[in-house]
Amino acid sequence: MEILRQIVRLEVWLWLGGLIGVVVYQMLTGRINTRGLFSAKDGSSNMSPGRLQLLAFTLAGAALLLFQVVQNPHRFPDVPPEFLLLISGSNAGYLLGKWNTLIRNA
Amino acid sequence: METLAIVVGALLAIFIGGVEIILLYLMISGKIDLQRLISEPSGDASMSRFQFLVFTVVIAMCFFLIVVSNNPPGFPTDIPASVVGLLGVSGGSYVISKGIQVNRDVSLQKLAGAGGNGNPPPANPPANPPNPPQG
Repeated sequence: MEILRQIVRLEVWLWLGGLIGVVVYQMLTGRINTRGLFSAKDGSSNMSPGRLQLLAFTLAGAALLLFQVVQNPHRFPDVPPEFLLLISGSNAGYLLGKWNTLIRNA
Repeated sequence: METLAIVVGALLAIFIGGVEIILLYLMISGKIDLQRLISEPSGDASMSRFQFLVFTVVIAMCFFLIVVSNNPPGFPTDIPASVVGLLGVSGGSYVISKGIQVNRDVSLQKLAGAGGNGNPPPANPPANPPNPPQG
């Protein structure tokens, strides 16, 4: 039974690792479209600060969560409420910027 | 009874492993097309879709890590509201983003309909359209 448990564990790691590997590889090689991910949608091809800050907060949040789970893998970590507020503010900033750009161009 | 459980478990493990390998192969070979995984209908990549993808994968990884770390493996006893909140903020942002976009597209279609030219509006019109010739 223990061998079976190990096999299933290996399978799920293979699946998650393979999925992340395929997505990251295809993003880096351009097979997954990332055109315009950071650019403002106002017709120019300028970088959008709202998108950059959202990316930074997203990656920070993901890293924080993973780091906490790796440190104590027996329970889900408590995300600090301050961080939830920060990421909500970041999303609100991004959405307001998007709304402003799209409405102005409409 | 234990032998039956082992046989069924082994069959399930083989089935799940086979499905995983097939899916990964199809993604790598391009038969499952991931090209527009984080794209909007206009063709540009979407930051909110990307954020939703990152948080979904990370929380799935955390969940699996917790399941396999318990002895015997088992579901986590509680999922804190803050983790659900994080996923909710990300999902909510994605939905609102789509709402803004659809609202804008509908407005543009109405304007085009009022103009009567019958042509659909461009997905991303230029910010500063060229000036008409003077005189």
